[in-house]
Order: sequence, then structure tokens, then C-alpha cells
Amino acid sequence: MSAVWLHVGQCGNQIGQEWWRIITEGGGHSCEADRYPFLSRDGKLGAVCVDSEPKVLRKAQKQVKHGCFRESNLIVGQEGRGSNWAYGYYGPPNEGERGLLQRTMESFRKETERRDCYSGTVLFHSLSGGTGAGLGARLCEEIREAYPVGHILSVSVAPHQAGESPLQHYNTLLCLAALQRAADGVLLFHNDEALSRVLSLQSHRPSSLSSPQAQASLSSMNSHIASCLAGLLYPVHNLTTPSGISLGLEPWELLRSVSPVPATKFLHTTQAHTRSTVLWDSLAASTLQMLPRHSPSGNLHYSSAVLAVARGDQSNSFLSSLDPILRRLRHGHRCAAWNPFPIDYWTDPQDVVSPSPSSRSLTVCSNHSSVTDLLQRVGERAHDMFQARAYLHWYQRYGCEDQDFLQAFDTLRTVTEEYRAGDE
Amino acid sequence: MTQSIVVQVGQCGNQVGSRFWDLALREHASVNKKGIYDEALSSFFRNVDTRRSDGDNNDISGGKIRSLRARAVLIDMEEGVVNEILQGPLRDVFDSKQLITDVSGSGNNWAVGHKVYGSTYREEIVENLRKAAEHCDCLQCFFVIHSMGGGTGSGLGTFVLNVLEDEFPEVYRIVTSVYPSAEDDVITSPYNSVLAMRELTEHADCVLPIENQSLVDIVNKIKHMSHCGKLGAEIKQSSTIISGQGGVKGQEKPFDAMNNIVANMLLSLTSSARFEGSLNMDLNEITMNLVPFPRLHYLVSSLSPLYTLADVNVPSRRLDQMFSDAFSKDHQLIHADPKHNLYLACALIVRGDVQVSDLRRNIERLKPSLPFVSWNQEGWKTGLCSVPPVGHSHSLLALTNNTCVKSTFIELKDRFMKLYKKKAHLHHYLHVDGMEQSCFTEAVSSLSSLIEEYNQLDATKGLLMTDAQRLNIAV
Repeated sequence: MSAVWLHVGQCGNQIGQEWWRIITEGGGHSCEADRYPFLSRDGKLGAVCVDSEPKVLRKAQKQVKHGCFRESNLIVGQEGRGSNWAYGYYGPPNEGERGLLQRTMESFRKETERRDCYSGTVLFHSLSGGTGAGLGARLCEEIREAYPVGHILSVSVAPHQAGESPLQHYNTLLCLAALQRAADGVLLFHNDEALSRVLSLQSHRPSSLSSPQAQASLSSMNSHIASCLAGLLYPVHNLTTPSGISLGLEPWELLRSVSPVPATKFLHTTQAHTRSTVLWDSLAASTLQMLPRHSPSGNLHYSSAVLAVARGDQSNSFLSSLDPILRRLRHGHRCAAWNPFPIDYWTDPQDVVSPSPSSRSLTVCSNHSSVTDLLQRVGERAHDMFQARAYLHWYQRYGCEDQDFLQAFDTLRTVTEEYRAGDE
Repeated sequence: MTQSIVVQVGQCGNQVGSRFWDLALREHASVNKKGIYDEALSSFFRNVDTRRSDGDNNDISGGKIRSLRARAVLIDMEEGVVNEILQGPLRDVFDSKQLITDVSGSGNNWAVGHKVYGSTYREEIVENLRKAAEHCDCLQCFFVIHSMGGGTGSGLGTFVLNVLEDEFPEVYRIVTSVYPSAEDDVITSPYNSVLAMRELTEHADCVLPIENQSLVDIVNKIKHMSHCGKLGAEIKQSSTIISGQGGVKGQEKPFDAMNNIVANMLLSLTSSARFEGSLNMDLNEITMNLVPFPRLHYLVSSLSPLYTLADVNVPSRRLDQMFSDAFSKDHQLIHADPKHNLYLACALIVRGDVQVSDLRRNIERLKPSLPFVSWNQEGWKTGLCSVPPVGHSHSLLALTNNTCVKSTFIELKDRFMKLYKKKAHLHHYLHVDGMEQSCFTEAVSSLSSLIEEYNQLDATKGLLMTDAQRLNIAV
């Protein structure tokens, strides 16, 4: 067992709650050994949770089976970081030893010592909050410095484009720049995509008379994201030793498969799952529906590498119909010609996503250039606000300077160019 | 979890304040069935064991509720209102040490309130505030409630604001100010208001201006609905935002209905910080997200719904109506026209049984008709709190930073200049020690430059927007 699971901020912990619920309750038929990558030797979850105010963590503690979280790994502050990246990153002035950053690194260090062989961290956070984006970025950098050999895979949630917070552009800008520097891979999720996915799944079900309009709650969006993650990171047959014990290598093998070029590390994930025996091919087609093919200016997107994880493959049906599925995915993602092995695939006979025995899920993770849509949009919006000097006094109050913003603009521009250059 | 302290100054401030405490108790009573002193209660109340005789060190955290004390400081320079509170049903909520009173009042004179009483009572005020702050684990915010047109609320209230900034610079100061209407019966209210405005612009983090006339209009609208109750459209009386039913207080007094509205607004403002929800929004998030430039911190508030119908089934069409209503002028607590001016930022604090999809859908729906400033097209801050107000299944508080407030300030300045040109009543102010003509000129120039800043932002309206798909549909 090799990973430490770090949850930062409101979003990070809410998704964490759904994630741990899948892991601890998931697929009643999955064996104990499968949970080995996620638990310490004494049965506690290998998670460190930090938030700058107590409400979310308290709720998460109640929801996940009692006694699972290690008490010393739950770190709470009192008063929130006010949607301000600078406040999250630098913290209150004169915080010193008992500050959130120090306490988190302390618990984190102890947690790595509990690992047989610490290989890396999976960091859950949002891009637009104060704690998730600010403290998350800071922790990413500190962990990178303290454990240079370990990987860092972040699960980052981008806010609704129509507006979740006026500060979301600044926070996303500064956080993405930090992740580009310090993380090895970023599993990017979008609130807009999660919401429309949940609503579209609902519309397939018969609607009740009292609520004719489809409704989606935040927890259903979080469940969707958690289930995509479980689809990718839960142990797979390919990577499990013959003894049946999983070493928890999935996150790092994911990085190896899908991040061939260190400069381009943003990953897009889609998932399709079904209760009945639907052909794998149509599951593949379903995952392609959620993939944004064009940029707003009409350019076609491409992918430099793809990983497909098929779970619930009881009768090896995935492997027997492999070629057409891979061809469909290769075409839909427009895999780059320069990569000789553009698609990797893992299979597992059990489906962790839903408990029924005949269910199947296909989760597809792709290093897709559609991230440039987000980068460009964030860059433009943040730039407009920066020119108007709006909200900057709040960031300056907590330690940010104009230079930080200018550097971040540069970083995002460079990443966009790298992605464009890859499509030759 | 953080705590907040309410500082109520002057007659208006104390009357609104006492309605706030009454309704806060009612709200917590409806949620807290087991009588446990939980973190939500601790944000505004202390839990005290009254059997012990030593005054200050008997706070109990956690466990059953013994006796609740409000985290408040009550200041008034005449005794009538505060005495009434102390003799009424809320007397047990306040400690006599939390009060600062005098006998003769400020004579509707800002200078008397600010300079005379300020210097006399400064030490006592600081002492009182310190004691209240010591009882807090993590003090986040001071709520100051006062009026602008009188002497104590306006003068001493802004003096207290200065003290708060000096002594507690890291703690947020959110000020609820009741502005005088044009037909105000206090002749010198323009002087008092403009002198106070300067203090608010420079020392408050965030101001929620309220106009009496808007409150009167809302009260009338509700009463009208109650009286002409159509069949199937009967209102649940205890659910109106003007009702104090279910609270501690017995008989309703004349201004109670209006003050209840302001109290309800403050409760909704702090709801997401006190109670759980799927998308929490703390108080410091309100100031950070809604104030893009430090001096432009005047927020228009509007509440919806004003009442619930007795009919229990609420189809989602009604939910959309709640969002539309919050953006209609009838629901605002000040007279202003945001839709024809420029939005700088907008916060939606939703309480009760509302899902994120409803919220997103309504933002998409309302966006085209609301002109946002070009660099903040996505200037929405959203919060979802799961606990609704008493008597409702859901409610919405909209806080907008909009350039329309400048019309209130322009009117105020006009009324001020009418008096000032004739030097009417000026001698009452200049007689006060420490008061000079320059105080007036500086105050007016501060107000003028504030109006100018809003004008400059307005000038950017309609300039080229990067996204050609968004059309401003004229309302």
C-alpha cells in the first residue's frame, strides 16, 4: 500500500466522503484484500482531511462508517478562508506552529511513515475555493519539496462557468499555475459536466409527478465524480499480484500511461455504467458523448494518451471484442499520431461502481486538449478583472502580489501552447 | 465555528436589535429540539450557569442549555428603549454589564453623539467590547445596527465603528444602517447622515443600507395580501417576515413589523455560517466576494418569499418565482433600481429544500436581464443552507453590490446641500467641542468622490464584452 489520500477544503472533503463510502461499502462482494491500498494496518483509512472550518468534516465523519477516520488525521480550523486563494495559500499572518499548514504536514508525515512504501499522494480539492485552491496548492508544493520522489496526482474540480464565486477566476488561475509546477497529473472534473451528467441520468428514469423537472443535488454530483475516480483507481486485475493483494499502484500506473509528456498533465475523465449486459462497444460510445470535441473557436481537440478501465468483465467479453472498442476510442479521442501506444486498457471482473452482480462500467481517462478551453477562458476572465484592478486589495492583504498573477498568466499561456504544439 | 457580536446603538438600533434577538431565539428553538447548546447557538449566544455568583467566568460550552446570554453590547444615550428591553420578556438574555446608557440623549445631533459621548464613554465602550470578545473562542464579525438620521445611532454608532477598527482590526465590521426617507421628521437628518456616511465609507467592511419607506411598503403589501385572502391563497400568519409570532415577545409594537424584516435579513445573512448545508458560505466570504473595491461596499439586500401560503405543496414553478421575486423592486430593503444600473457582484443565500440544479437553472434564466460589469460577468456567489427560516420550506436572500445605490447617496447629498447652503442649524454642531467646518466639507467631499467612483463604473456599461453571445435584453 503506497498512497496517502489528502482531502482539502469543502469540495475536497465532500467528494472524499462519497469516495470513502464507495470504498468502505462498495460492491459487497469485493474482498478485503482489495481494500488493502486504502487502509492502514490497524484498519483506519489512509486519509488526511483538512478544512479551515469544522462543519463539512463533522458531517463526513458522521456519514462514513463510524470509527473509520483516524482522529489525528482530521485537521480543522475555525474560520474559513473566505474564497480567497491568498488567504488559503499564505494563511493568517502569525499563525506559526499551530497553523493548518504545519498541522497538516505533521499528520501527513506520520501517515507516510505508516506506509510500507510511500509512493505518492492523491490530493482532492476544488479550484475555486479559498482553502481547496489556496491551501491545496500550498500543500502540493510543500509535499513536492519534502518528498521529491513521490508522485502527486490531484483531483481538481473546476467551478460552474456561469459563476459560482466572483473570485473563481483568480483562484483557478493561481491554483492551476501551482499545480502545473508541482503536480504530476491533474484529474480535472467540471461542475458543469457533472451536473449535466447527473441530470441526463435522471431523465432516463421515470419522473415522479411531484417533481417534473429533473433535480440534482450536490451530493449526487459528488457521487458521480467519486464513482469516476473509483472506476480508475480501485484495484484492477492487471496490476494485482498473483497472491491477490493489491499494491495500490493504480494511481501511479495511471500517470505513467496517460502523462507521456511532463508539460501536459491535465486529464479528462468520463464514465458509463450499466446494470444490464450492454455491449462494451456501446458503453464506449456512451463515454464519447460527454467528451467535448471542439473548442469554442471550432478547432478539433485531440488526445495524447488514453486509458480505458473496464470493470465487471466477468466473461472476458471486453478482451474478446477489444479491437473495435479501441478503434472507436482512438477515433473519438483523435489520438495523436506520434504516440505508438495511444490507448492502454485495464480490466477487472468486479465492478466497484455499483453493487449488482451483472453491472459493468467503463471509465475512460484521456490527456485531452479540451483543457485548453478552460485555461483560455480562465486566463481571459482573470485578465479582465486584473486590468480593472478588482478584488486585488483582498489578495494583497494576505500576501499576494501582482507578480504572482503575471507569472500565473504566463504559465497558463505556456501550457496552452504546449497542447497546441502536440497536435502536429 | 466562529462567533459574532452585535453592537446596537441608539433608539432604532436597539429596537431592531431586540427584534433580532427575539427572532434568533425563535429560529434556534425550532431547530434545536434537544436543548443542547450546540455550535450554531454559540455563534450568537453564551451558555451561562446563573447559580454561580462570580460574574464572568461561568461560560459553559456544550451540554444542555442552562441560561442563554446574547453576545451583544447595547448602547443608548437615553434610557427609554434599553429599559423597555430590560423589563420585557428578553431581560434574561442580556446582562446588565452589557449596557452603556446615559440620560439625556443626543438631541438628534451627530456631533454630540460622536464627539461628546464618544470621548466620555470611550473607555467604557472598549472595556465592554473586550469582555464580550474574551468570551469568544474565535470572533469573526461585529454587527453594528444603527440609524443614520439621529444623533446617538449616527454619531456614537460611527464612533464605535472607529473603536472597533482600532481595537479589533482583524475582525470584520458589517453595519446595518437605516437611512432616513425624504419625508423624515428630523430636520437635521441630512447632516447626520452625511457625517456618518464618511465614517462608514472609511471604517466599515460592508454596509447594508435600509430605507424606512421600503420597509413600510413591504409591510403594506403583506397586510394587503392577508386581507384580501383569495380562496386557496391564505397566508400562514406566522410565516410572514414581518411577524414575530412564536417569539418570546408578547404584544406587537408599531415599528415591530418593519424591524422584523431587518432582523430576518440578518438571520438569513448568518444562516450559512451557523447551520449546515451542502454549500457553506461563511461571513468572510460575503465581504471578500462582494467588495471588489474597498470603498464600494454598500450592498442592496432583498428577501423572498415575503410569506408562505397555507397550501403545502410547492411546485418548482414557485421556486423559480422566489428567485424572480428577489430581483424585483418590491422585495428590496432600499429604494433603488438595480436592473437599470450596473451589477458589480451578487450573492444568493438560499435556505431550505433547494437543490444546486434549481439554483444553477435560475441563475442561467435571470442572467440575460441583469447587466453585470464587463469584467465580472460571472459575478455570482452562491450558498446553500439546509435549515429554512421558521414557517418556510425555503427562502432566498439576495445581496447585490450595484451602482444603483448612488441614487440614494445623490439624494442625500442634495438634501444636505439645501441645508448647508443656508447654514441652517449649523451652529448646533459647531458649538460642540472638536467640531469644525472642515468636518462638514470633508464629509461632503468623501460622499462626492464615492458617487464619482460609482459613476466611473457606470461609464463602462455597454462597453465591448468579449463574449458576443450574451445580449443585454432590456427590461
